[in-house]
Amino acid sequence: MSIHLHNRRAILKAGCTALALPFMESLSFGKAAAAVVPPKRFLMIGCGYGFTKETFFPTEAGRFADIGLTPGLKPLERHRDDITMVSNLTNLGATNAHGGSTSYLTGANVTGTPGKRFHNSISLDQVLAREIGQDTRYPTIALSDKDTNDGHGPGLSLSWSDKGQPIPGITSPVDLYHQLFGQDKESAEEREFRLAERRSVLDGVVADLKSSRKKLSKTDQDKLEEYLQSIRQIEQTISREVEWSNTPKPKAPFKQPKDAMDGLAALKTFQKLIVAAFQTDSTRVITYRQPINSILKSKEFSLGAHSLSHYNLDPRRGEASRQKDAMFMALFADLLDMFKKTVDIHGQNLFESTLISYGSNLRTGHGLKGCPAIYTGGAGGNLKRGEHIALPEEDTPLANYWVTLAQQSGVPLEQFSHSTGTLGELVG
Amino acid sequence: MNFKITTLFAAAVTLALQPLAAAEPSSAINLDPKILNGFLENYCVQCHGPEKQKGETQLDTLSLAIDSSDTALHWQEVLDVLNLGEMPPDDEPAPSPDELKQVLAHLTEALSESKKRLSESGGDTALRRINRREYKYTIDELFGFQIPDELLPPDDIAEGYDTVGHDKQFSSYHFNDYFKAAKSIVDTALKWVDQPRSESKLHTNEPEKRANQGLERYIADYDKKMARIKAGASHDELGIDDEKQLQMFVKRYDGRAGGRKRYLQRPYADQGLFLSDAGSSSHKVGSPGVNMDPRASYKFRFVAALAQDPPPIRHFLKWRVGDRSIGYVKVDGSFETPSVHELEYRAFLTDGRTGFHVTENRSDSIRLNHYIGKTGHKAEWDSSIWVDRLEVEGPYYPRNPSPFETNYQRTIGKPDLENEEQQAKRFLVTFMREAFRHRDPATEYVDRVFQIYQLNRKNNRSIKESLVTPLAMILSSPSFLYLMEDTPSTEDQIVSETEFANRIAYFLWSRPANSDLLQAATQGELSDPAVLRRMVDGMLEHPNSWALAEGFFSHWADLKRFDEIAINEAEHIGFNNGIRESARLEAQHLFHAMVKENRSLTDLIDSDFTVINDLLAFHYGLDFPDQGSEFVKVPLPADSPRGGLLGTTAFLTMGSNGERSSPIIRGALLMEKFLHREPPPPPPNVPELALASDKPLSVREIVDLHRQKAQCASCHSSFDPLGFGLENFDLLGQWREMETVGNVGKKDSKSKTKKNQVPIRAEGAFPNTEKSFKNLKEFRAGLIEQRHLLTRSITEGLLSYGLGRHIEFADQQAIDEICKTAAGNNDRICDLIFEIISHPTFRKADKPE
Repeated sequence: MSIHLHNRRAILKAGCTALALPFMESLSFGKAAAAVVPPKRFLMIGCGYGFTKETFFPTEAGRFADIGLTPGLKPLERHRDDITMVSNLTNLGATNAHGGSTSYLTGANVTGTPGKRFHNSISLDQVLAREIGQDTRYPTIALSDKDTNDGHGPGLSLSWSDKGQPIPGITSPVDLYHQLFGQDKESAEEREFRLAERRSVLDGVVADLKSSRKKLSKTDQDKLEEYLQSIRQIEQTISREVEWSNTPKPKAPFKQPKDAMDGLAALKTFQKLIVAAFQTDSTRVITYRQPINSILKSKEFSLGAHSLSHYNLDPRRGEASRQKDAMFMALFADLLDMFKKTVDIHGQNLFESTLISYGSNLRTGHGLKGCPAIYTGGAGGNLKRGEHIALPEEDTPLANYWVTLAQQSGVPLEQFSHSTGTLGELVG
Repeated sequence: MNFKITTLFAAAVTLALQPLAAAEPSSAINLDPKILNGFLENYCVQCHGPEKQKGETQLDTLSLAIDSSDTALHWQEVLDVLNLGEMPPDDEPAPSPDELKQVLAHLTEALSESKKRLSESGGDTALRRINRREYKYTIDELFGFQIPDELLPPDDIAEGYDTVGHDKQFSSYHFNDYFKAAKSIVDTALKWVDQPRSESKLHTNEPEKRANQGLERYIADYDKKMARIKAGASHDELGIDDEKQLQMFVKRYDGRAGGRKRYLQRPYADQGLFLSDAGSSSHKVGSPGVNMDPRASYKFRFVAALAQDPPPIRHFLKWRVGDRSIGYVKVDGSFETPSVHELEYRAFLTDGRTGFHVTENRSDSIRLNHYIGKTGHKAEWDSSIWVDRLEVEGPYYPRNPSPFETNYQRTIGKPDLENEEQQAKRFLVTFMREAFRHRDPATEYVDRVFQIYQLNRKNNRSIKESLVTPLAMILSSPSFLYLMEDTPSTEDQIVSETEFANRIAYFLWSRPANSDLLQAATQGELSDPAVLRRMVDGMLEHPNSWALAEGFFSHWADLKRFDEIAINEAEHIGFNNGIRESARLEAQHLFHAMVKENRSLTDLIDSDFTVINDLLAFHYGLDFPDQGSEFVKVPLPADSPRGGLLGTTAFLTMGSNGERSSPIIRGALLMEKFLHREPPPPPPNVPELALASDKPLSVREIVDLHRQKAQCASCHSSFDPLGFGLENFDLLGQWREMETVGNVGKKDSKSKTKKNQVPIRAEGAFPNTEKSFKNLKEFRAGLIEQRHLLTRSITEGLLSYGLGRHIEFADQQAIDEICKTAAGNNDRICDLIFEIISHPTFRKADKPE
């Protein structure tokens, strides 16, 4: 029996114990405070399904300039020297081929945790935000899509709170636009009243909670604890709102998008807004659970994403699956163009100040081994760019990849989820 | 050689997957030594045994009793390497495909079961937060308002029923969403609460008037410009870009102005509106907009006629308010005697000023002229339906004011400046008690809610304005959002009478107990089985039991799968939104009809009736009584293949892959629902099969191909053959005797000639009894023979849904008892529901510690 599987058991066991501890004990940050100037940013895109095995993944390691790009990656040609693909990673938490992206950024063992039907843990973006999300209006922004049938599995975005609760993603570009640039017409006095009232509401519902709790069973009391935690969280949000109340929101760099748009238009608008959110320094951490079916529909594909993922059943599907890969890489290439063209409010090039990761738990079909992992952007410090890196060991924990990305961009994260170390191969 | 651990347990094991001891609820799953011992001995232990432990793995000491997640993980590793074909290595003896298949099947099922067993929590119901449906109906009870689902945070996270408390998490986002939703509800409620009920009025739109005026203006304008061009006007003078554009303008005259002229010359164009490119650019026509009173209902009406003798598929209209579908109608009138279509519409809280519109029911993903060609409509132009006189009549109010209105009228509705504060407090406290399902709020809570009212008043807000936040706060408080039950003070460990009443009401109606039920509860009458039975029967017969179809049955039947399946509508023009929405409702109506009439569960397998609308009658080729756009229970002809859930498009289409029928998905669904055995999820990482074939393959042959690997066959050979029983139904649920087969994956036009028809073969076998069946009839008979498994599947589902928790091993005894009584009652659904409600398990309170 191979060594890596033995590792998985040990790691999953250890993971469960670690996750049972309160937040700060389970995640060990280094002592050194991160230097936050100039700001660094993270964008994590999850694409749900995998790719066409034969035409997407490079077979040999090396610089793309030497080995060339596969047909699936070809649309990224103009970014060839900036993108890196890492092979032989596996999300050890993902054990169900139909499990989707639920644990993509958390690494949690979602359905195999003793005593729990469903379990998740904090996602990477939330961890990063504790370090690099404190100086912006929004610590993190999670984006998703209205269509819940995109193979992403349970969850409302890629992001999960420190208690492993789903964080709902913003699903409409217009909503995101309002959040980033909507100017409220409230006077200082009105705001003060609203926030005071809000605090009283929170105190009130907690009073109901406390008096009810006394009469409840143990299980019920535990359940109510979630409610209490969420109220505490809102109290913190209010404090942040107060802190930011005198800072006007940035001016919108473009007109408000239309209310109704098809999947492709929504994705493109989200891409523009992601760039705008970073450019205006409204946030430094964004996750995007990317839609797929609505995009296929816009592009008049006759097959759904699930059918395409089982492309071997029919050559027509195979052709469509390859087109799908290229289409998504072309959209990704457009996004990178925008990053490269943009300068942030600190005068830095946005591409050079951001680390962008693109990937999924699934390699292809039902395959969870060797998940697709692409990173790009200049915030990664000494991370190698423009290469296909094949890690020496199969099933290297995806969490090691996350830790490496975090560390190289200056976030002193030592351990995360099921990580066992860092990937020296990525640093050059 | 024998194994230490194995021999130890061998004596205790008789059957695979039997519990070690019934007294321990979360006891181990035991692997079958008969299946595993020989296999391990022959293929594994040489390298992973007492002598060698390659890869630090020793299998002879691994316990066959899976009683911890550690052991489960060990066995999972064994299963994984077998699935991947990594073990045994190529240079070692390999098991035969059959041996491998048996071991894989056994390990897969045992591990899947042990995963469930290890996640058990001991039968406690975690505090239940009300789901969207329950919130919606609870608001209806309190305010008399219908609210749209989108107002509330989404439910769907877990795989179980949407009532299961354990799976429902709460985050700050939930609180914010609930608070926002509550604000919009109370805003509207306070706005309307003292508005007098208005007189009913009739609003009519004669759609041709404005439309035709617009067309005439367009034509006149075009004619005028043409005349000027003739007279030598330049493009500049006419406001046209350049000479080239001017030429285009002249050239397009016939298509643009001419088309409109011809439209206006059509008979009856002066009396109504043709749904047409020329008549209304969006092919839809609407009623006048009316300021909808959210407390009321309205009558919607219009008349219509068929134009140009269209084929039946083009006889249907979809009826909508905004994006919300409210029905589908079949037009069968003529210009001389147009058909009249009417329905009653209950306003939604969020409606505001709105009306309805109608448009042809067809797929949106195909261009109209393309669609018309595919329907075979020999039409001169694009219309199939002519519509006239669109009317909204109302409002019509319910007889009684809502509890909210009554409360308001009794307190601050009669302004009394001296006692304003007292009145407001009384209003708020009364509302709290109603919203909290008659639990008394704590004094401190009451004070805090009231302080917010005072704070608002001090800031010069009106009485109504000052009530908004306090009311929204009540609707966001734990006592409203969670179904609270006190730990019992007495020894008997059962919930109180009132809590019992609310359990029943949320189970059957997804809303709080009404006054009748509460009264019976407070007088202790629910412990009298006769009274309880009367109450339960009354609730099941009532239209509100629709909530059980909407909640329980939709989940049991996995209708979400149906919602999620994408059908290529350009290729299958018989499928469209109308069919999709109607088919979903058909499945729910089938179950609701069973509940209303206390019918046997075997109706799910086969029934002599179905509940359909006009559109589905057309889809199925069934006769339909002339009863408007409603769903109607219709008897089925003796030779009809319809009947039961098995004969519904919802079930049959979710059993497809969107391109063709899928016996694999159907088989898996049938095994889970009707034989009560859930197939394990597909193992990860097994390489995909590549199916390429030069000769045309039937679906059956494709499915057979896909079982060539032991890794796939270990599970698929049990359920795929079940799915063949329904193979006479195509992916849209329509009956067929023949299947068209073509070359896999060749799309060029030449391949058309190679397509041929092969007869459908619907024979297969049951995995548990190994009995075979030859056709649909025998298949249904075989399922009915095993009806006890269906009863068990429904019973477990209902109990889980009703109690709001997962069913655990410890519940098996209760389920045995309930199923036994149900079998004695011919598996009738209401008898079964009554058994569940009157079983001690349903009244059991949580353990205090």
